[in-house]
Amino acid sequence: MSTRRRRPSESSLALSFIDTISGGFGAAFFLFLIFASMPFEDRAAAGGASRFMEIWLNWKSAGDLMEVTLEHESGVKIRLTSKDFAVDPFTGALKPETKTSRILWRSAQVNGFSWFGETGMHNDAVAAMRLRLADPCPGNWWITATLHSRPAGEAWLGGPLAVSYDASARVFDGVSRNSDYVVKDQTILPGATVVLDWSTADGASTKIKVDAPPRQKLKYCPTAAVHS
Amino acid sequence: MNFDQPDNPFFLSFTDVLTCVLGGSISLFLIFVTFVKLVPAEQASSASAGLDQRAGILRALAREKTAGASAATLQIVSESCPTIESISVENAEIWSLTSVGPTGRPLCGRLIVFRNGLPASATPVKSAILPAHPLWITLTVGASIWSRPAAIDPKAFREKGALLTIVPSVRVLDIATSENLRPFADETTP
Repeated sequence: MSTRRRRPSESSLALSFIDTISGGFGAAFFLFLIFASMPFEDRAAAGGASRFMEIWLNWKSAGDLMEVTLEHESGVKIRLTSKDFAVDPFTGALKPETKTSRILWRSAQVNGFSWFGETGMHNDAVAAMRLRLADPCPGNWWITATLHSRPAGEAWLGGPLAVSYDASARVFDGVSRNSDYVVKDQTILPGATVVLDWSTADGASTKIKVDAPPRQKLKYCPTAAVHS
Repeated sequence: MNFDQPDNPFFLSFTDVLTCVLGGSISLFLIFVTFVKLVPAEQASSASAGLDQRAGILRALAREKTAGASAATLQIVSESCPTIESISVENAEIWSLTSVGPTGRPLCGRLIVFRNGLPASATPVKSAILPAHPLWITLTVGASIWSRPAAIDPKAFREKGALLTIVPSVRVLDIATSENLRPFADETTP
């Protein structure tokens, strides 16, 4: 007959091995709950709600139409006159028309842009278009301006008339820094397309540089260069 | 050495320590994997968009001195062209907008530009004529956009003497309407 060793009576405060494991898991679960429910400030910390780029183009001939084309360093080119976009006439919201329309912004507003002159923005004899992009994709942007002119026949007989224009752009990084870009007193001929050559505080440049928001990935932005 | 079970209940064997370390590392792994997935920076649900905008305008108003954050435009569009054409605002750059509505009727509008942010004093947007149609009011501050149609109430229009007033408070716009419209905040208004 085997002899059994008599176990001593244990203190009620003693921790068994299972208690230790269970306590460890309990603490880990508690930590998980704390971290998971912490009120993270998502866009606010990144300043994402304030990042924007605004482009103004003014031209001194209310009878003519001008448009801008946006080109991103990834190779994505956006022409507002393409059938990919529609403008809400009440709010100026620029909405993609098709599922394949590439966008480089969270939301966009446009004024004075028109396909056939059905929409316009004027101040006396100056016409203008304005495009404000919320949360633009980071990288370098090139902006081109095109003059679509519909001059009277006699104007054509005398040779096409150049139209003088100004442009300005502002990029706000969402935190504190503005970058201002200006084009002053340039002229453009009907049908011509020019890449805007900006003067900035750092000298002349054809590029507009948009900084990436900190700690935030913009889903709609192209990830790699698509040079086509 | 005594190979009997020790009486000390706090005794941990080598196996116990190994198990604890393994358990701890699994827990930590779970915490960090789940934690990273829960950071909602990339989520953009429509429910949070309103809150984002509201937070954006409040920040922009708080940083009135930072020109970029608060660069603002107020766009008013309506089928009531006589009202729109008589709009006047002091110390503002005003552009006239023309477009065509979905039904083919002409729309008139004004774009009022405040390049250095919304004015710091109450600024009325006046018009001599009561509009017969609703006004579409679109306010853009920084990257935040708020847009609503508002039917102007004749009584409020006469009392206030303006279509709407830009006020330097969280209310932002005081619109002559019987509706309770609070730019960037009215998602939370019942």
